[in-house]
Amino acid sequence: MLFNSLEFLIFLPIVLLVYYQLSHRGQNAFLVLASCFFYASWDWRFLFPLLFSTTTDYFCAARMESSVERGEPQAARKKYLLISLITNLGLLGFFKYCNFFVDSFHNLGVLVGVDLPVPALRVILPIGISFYTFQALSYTIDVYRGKLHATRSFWDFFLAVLFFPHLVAGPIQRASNLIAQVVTPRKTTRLQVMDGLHLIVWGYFKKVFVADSLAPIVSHIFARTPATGGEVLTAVYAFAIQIYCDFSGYTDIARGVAKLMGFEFVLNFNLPYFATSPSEFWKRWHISLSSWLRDYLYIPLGGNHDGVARTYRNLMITMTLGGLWHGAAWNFVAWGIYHGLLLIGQRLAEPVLERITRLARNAWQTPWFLLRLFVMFQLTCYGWLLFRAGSFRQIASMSAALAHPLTGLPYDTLSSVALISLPVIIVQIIQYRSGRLEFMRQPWLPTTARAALYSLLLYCTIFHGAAPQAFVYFQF
Amino acid sequence: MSDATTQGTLLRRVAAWAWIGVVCSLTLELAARVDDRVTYGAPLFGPYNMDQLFQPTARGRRGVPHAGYVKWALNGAGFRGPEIRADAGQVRIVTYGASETFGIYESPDREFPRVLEHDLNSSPAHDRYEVINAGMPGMRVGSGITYLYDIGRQLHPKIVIIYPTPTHYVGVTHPYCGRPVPIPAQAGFSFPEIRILDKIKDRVKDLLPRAGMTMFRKIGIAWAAHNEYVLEHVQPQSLDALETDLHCALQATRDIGAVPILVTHANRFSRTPRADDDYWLTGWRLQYPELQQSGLLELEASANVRIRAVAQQEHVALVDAAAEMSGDTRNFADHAHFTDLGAAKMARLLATAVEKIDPETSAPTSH
Repeated sequence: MLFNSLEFLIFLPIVLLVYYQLSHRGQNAFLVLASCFFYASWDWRFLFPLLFSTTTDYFCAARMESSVERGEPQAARKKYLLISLITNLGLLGFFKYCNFFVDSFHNLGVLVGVDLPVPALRVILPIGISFYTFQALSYTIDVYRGKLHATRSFWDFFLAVLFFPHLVAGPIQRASNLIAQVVTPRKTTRLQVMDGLHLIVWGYFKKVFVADSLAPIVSHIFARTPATGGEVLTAVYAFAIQIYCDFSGYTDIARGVAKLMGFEFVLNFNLPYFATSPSEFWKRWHISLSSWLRDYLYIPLGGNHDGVARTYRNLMITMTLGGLWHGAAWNFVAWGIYHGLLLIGQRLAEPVLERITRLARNAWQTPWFLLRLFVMFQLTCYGWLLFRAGSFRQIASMSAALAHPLTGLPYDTLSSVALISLPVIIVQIIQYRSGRLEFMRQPWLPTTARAALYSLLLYCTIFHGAAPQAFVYFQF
Repeated sequence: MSDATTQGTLLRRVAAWAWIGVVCSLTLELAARVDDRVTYGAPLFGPYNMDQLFQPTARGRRGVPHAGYVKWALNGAGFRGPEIRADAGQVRIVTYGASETFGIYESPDREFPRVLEHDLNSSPAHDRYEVINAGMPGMRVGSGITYLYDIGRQLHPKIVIIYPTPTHYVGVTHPYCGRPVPIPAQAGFSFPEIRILDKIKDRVKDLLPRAGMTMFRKIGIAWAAHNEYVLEHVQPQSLDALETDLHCALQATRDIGAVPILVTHANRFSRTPRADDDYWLTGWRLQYPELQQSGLLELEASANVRIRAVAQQEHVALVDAAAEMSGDTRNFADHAHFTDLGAAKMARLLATAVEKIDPETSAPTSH
C-alpha cells in the first residue's frame, strides 16, 4: 500500500476517523492493528521477522532494565545487548545481504578461476527492514547505555516500531522520541492539523508531480549506452532532484500523517542541496540516518577522539556501512566510500577553506558561498551517478562521458527537467532565504493566496502527476 | 462571552471558510482552463467540449472547419484528417460511420481511415488513394444520409465504406432514412460548464478499481432506468429500422456514383464469457440503460446477420469485421472502439476489400 495509491487514500481517512473516536489506549491498540494491516498489505509474511525482532528487543530491554534496577554493572547487560544486535543484524544480514555476499563470493571465485557451485536462496526482502531494524536497535542500545528506561508494555514498543507512517521508509525514529509519544496521551492541535495537511500536500506534489515525472527521463538515459556527456549530465541532475523529491516527499507525507494523529517525527531533510560542504550535506540529507550512524556507529568507533588516522578510518567505516545500508550492491558501497572520501577531503582542505572564507568578506561573501554551493552540488551529483548506476562498467562509461559535459546536450529533455523542477527550486530558495521550512506560513503571504497556492499544488499533483511509481527508498 | 459574541465569531469563521472554499474552487477552475488553453489551445472562457467539433446546421450536424477538441482536430472541410487534396484523379474513399470510424482511443493518425490510406498507398500505387474520414460520433447510419449526399456532391468519392453502429438503434422503431436525429432545443441560458468537474470525473475513473467502477456504473444504470421499462431483448422493429436505413445508405452511395462496402460491427466480446465482460458491458450499457446487457450482445449478433443479408441482397462487398475481429480484446480499447492494433487490423481488412474493387469502373470485381 504505497502512500501514492488509491488504497492508501481510502485507508488513511478511515484510520483517522476511527482514531479520533478512541481513548488513548484504544488509539494505540487501533494503530497497532492498522499498522499490521498496512504492512501486511505488501505480504503478511513480512510481519513475522518484524514480530520476532521486536519481541526479542522487548525482552532484552526488559532484562537490561531489571539489571539496572538491581544495580548491576553495565557488563551484566552486555549479553542482552549482544542478543539484540545479533538478532536484528542477523535478520537484516540474512534477508538483505545473504545473496549479495554469496554472489560476490562466487564472482570472486570466478575471477581467480574457481567456479564454486553456490546455492541461490530465494529470499524475499521484507519491505522497510533496514529502517525498523535501526529503530529497534536504537531502543536496546539506549536502554543498555541507561539513556532510556525500558517500556513496560510490549504493545507500546511494538507500536513505536510498527507505526505505519514511518515503518517502511522512515524517518528513522529514535525509541526515546517515539515511545514517549506512544505512552502519553496525545491531543492533536489545530496547528498540527494545519502543518500535517501542508506536509501531506507538499509531499504528494514533490513525489507525484516532480519525482515521478522525472523518473522516466532518468531511466531512459540511464538505460542508454553509450550516452553523451550532455545526456549524462542531464540525467544526473534530474536524478538529484528526483531522489530528493521522492524521499523527502515520502518523509513529508509520513510526518504530515503522524501530525494528524498528534505525533511529531524528526526532521529528515533540511534543504540538502544548500549544503556548502560534505559534512553539512550529511546534516541536511536523511538526517535521521546520518545522526543514527553518528551516534550508534561513528562515536562508538571512537569518533574523532583518537587522532587523525583513526578519525579517517572511523569516517570510512561509517560511510561505507552507510552506503551498504542503502542496498546490497557494490555501487552503494562505492557511493558510501565516495562520501567517506569527501568527508576526509573536507577535513584536509578545511584550513584552506576557512582562510578563504575569512578573506571573502563583504562583496565576495555571496560569490564564495555560491561557488561552494555549486561545487558541493556537483560533488553530490557525481555521488548520485554512483548511486543510480547499474554496474561499475556503467559508472566508468558515464564518468568518461562526463569529461565532455556539454557534448550532445538534450535541450528538450533539459528544459523539461528544469520546468518540472522549477516549483521545488523556487520553494527551496524561499525556504532558505526566509529560514522557515513551512514556506506557506510566510508573514507576507495572505490566507487567500495560500488557499490559491494549495489549490494549484493539488491541481498539478492530481492532473499532471506521472503514473504512480514505488518510492525509491522502499528498496532499502 | 455573550451569546451574540459567540454567534458573531462562529459566523465570521463560517464566512472565512466559505471564502477559502470559493478561492480554492475558482483557482482549480482557472487552473483547468489555463491547462486546456496551454495544452490544447482551448478558449479560456468559452465552452469547450465535443460540440466544438460538430455543430447542428439546417442539414443536420456537420463538422466545423478547423475545429479542435483535446486530441481531435478537423480539417478545413470539417473532417478528421489532413486537408483534402485537389482532385488529381486519385480514388477517393469515404468512411461513413460513428465514433468507431471517427476514432476515439487511437494514437494520432492511427484511426483506421488514416491507416487504410497509408496501407493502400504503400503498394506500388503510390498516392492513388485518398481516404476521407466522415465518421461522426453518435451518427446513425440512416440519419446521415443527407450528409452522404453532400459529401458526394462536394468530393465525388469512388468508394464509400459504411460501418454502422447497431446499438444506435436501441429504442428506435422507425428508420431515419435521411431524417436527422432531432436536436434538443437550446435553453435561453445555459449554466457555464465547470471544467474541473469533468477532469475530476476522468481522474476518479482512472483511479477506481474495475469492481468499484462497475458498481458505480450499475448505480448509474439503475438511476437512469428507474422510470423506464427495461427491455430484455432488442425490439424487432429496431432491427427493421436498421435494415431499412442500410438500404437507404446504399442507395445514397449509388446515387452519388460510388461503390459501397458494408462492414459488420465488431466488439470485444466472445462467445465464451470472460471475467472482465461485466465491467465492459456495464460501461456500454450505461449509454443504453433501457436494454439489458444480454440484449446488447444479442442486438449486435442480430444486426450483423441483417448487415450480411443486406450486402447479399444488394450485391455489395462485405467486410465481416465481426467475424474477423470480435472477441480479441487486443483490438478494443473499450466495448467497441479500436486500439491502434484494432484500427490497423480493420484497415487491413478494408484494404483487401478496396483492392478488389476496380476504381476505373468503380465496380467490385468480386465479392
